[in-house]
Amino acid sequence: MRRASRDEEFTAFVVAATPRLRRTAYLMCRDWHLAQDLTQLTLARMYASWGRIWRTVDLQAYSRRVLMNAVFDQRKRRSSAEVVSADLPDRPGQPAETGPEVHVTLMRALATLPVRDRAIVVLRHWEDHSVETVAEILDVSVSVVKMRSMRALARLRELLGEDFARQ
Amino acid sequence: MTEHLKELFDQALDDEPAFADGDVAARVMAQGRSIRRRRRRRGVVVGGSAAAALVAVVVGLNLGAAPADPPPVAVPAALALIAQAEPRCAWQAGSDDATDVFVVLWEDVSDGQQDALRDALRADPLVRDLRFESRGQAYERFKNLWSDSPEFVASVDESSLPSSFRLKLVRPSQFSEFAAVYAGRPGVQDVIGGVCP
Repeated sequence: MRRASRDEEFTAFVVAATPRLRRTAYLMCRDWHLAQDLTQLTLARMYASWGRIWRTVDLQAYSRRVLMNAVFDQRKRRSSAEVVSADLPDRPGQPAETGPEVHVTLMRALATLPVRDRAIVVLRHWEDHSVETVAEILDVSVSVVKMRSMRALARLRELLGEDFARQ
Repeated sequence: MTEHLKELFDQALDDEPAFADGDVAARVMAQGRSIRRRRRRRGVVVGGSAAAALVAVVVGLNLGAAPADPPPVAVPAALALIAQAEPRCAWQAGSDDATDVFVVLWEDVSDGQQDALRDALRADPLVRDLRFESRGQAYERFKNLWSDSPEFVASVDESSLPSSFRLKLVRPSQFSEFAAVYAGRPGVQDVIGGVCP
């Protein structure tokens, strides 16, 4: 339990966890620089508690929790700055775009979701965490995750069009 | 839908710029230390039920890039100690000082080993306020300290709490010296220090 070995394990954790945390952060905020900042803040906060957490918590889940809290805080501070959805289709059910650019629309569609619903979609459907783990990370009940996930997917399907949904 | 969604997520990440991650660890460690100092100044302490909800007993160590041979797994001891640590104390990495110390014993420590340790600790001029805590006592204290988090208490098996010697150091700066002497002694699983006000 010496400082050196704890720091070594932390360094190994940073190397292993950074790329994925940053991608998750990007899917939440659509800005690579912000994603980088949020990731570093997450890791710094974890290091501040490392002696307590390093062998006791599920670091995967814990790091997502710290990250999502950083995302939520950051949004609160910045409040109304983000403007999205201006160029989303007016007619639900119509494909917004087709072809290779459809993912741009996915990111835009994601950005119209309430931030906690977006977190559920990203954690559940990109990160592949179980419903239970997502519930734990976001500190809500399993049924809340299921309900909001269903609602969020329905909303994405609506925005992106049935073609997307059927593929 | 969800399969396709994943593909689209992957595509959305295609424009990921190259990041120079070489010194990230050093940078975030420096940042983390200053967060810790701020927390200490504000008197934020270890614990809280939100953290407890995530203390998912024994996981996480075997990350891809972790060293191939992790140290003998001291998870139950670390868990136990952290879980039952005095909330007002800071049990964390990054400090070579400690006011309070746990000398954690292995489950199969013999009476002879335990007596030898007790004698050595009693005779040690670095040590004051020595006491022994049995596994039963440790569990009782753990239950009381975490009574506001029954799920967490339920998730910890009584047998995962180790017995230990608890002591205070005469001078906090002597922790490294103390740990070096006792860490490898027969029957000793771990030596863990914390700073208590």
